[in-house]
Amino acid sequence: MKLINTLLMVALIASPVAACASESVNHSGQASKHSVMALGHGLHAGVKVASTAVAAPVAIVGSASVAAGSVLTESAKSLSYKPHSPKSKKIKSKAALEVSETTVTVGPAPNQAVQRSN
Amino acid sequence: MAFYRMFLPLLFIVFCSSYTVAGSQADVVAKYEPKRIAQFAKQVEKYAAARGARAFIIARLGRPEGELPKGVRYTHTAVAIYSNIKLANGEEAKGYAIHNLYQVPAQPERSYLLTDYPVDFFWGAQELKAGIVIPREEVQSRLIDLIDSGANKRLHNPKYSLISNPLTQQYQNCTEYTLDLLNAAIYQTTDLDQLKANTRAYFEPQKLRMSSLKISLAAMLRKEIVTKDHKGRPKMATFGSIERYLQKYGLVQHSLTLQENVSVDS
Repeated sequence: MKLINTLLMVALIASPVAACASESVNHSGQASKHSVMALGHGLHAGVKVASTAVAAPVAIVGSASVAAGSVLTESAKSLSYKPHSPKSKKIKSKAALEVSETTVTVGPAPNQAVQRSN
Repeated sequence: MAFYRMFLPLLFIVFCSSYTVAGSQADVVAKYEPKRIAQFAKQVEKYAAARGARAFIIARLGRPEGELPKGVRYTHTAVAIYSNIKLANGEEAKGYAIHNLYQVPAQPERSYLLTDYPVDFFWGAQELKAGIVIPREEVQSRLIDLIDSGANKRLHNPKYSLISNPLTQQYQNCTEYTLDLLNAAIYQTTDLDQLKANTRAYFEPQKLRMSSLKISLAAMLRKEIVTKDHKGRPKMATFGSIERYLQKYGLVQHSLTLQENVSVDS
């Protein structure tokens, strides 16, 4: 009986926890993320954060001018990358694209934006 | 009493382990320091940019890897498009916008489309790890055209199921939406009858390796887990099954796993 009660309690507790921790539910993390990103908490001085207004896909092939070698080296320093097939290794890099240093983040949900402005 | 002795442990197991299959939340509480997330996100962008990827499939791990059913490596999948991003401060940035299907927060059985950015995408990741499939250039161009034209919205089905059957139109999750985008790009149509017929003919979904009892109980208890679009054991779209599909038909330029493995200097 003790076991049953314990399991029932844990199940009841776990149900909202599982929902919140799962990949399927939105929750208050949104607000905390925007606070952190907006205020730069936990970010070092080199990380510039900006919220976005609109993103337009770029449909031009090979228009970028950033040197592929330098970008790739920088990424490789702190990432491990494992090609999923041996063929991938043989594929040459295409023309590199430019990526801005600014960390772009989506704005808060409308209800949160309204709350903030009050 | 015997019933409770049997049922409650099952209930507990279901609650604790059945929501790790696909998954589409817009945000969760961050496990990692914001700095690490931002740096990892930027590194993923730079890696894809260095490869010249203008459009690619991106996946994240929103649950501990050990909790995922066998054969499932990621919990959320979307399409990243290289974009000119106009910022709220009037400046412009270049980088990737990620086109997602997410669950409606208060209605987990419904979904909506949201464009966010790599730092948003990885905010709640359980591991700083990204699955990446860069399709061939023709597919990339068609994906960009599809999204730029807004035709991608016609493929969205707001009826959400965590284990939706990608061979039918009844329900959709983030990974099925990604597959639908890919097929719409490949076949240059948004006719869902045609797209699903092609999916049934050429796409091999991932079998959900979880006990039928667990799945049935989960479906009883959660609106966002639906089994009525399946015959027999549920099969679903996963990042891995999409990768295999594109590989099989020679449509992959590059596919890999990116993972943060050392501390990043500030």
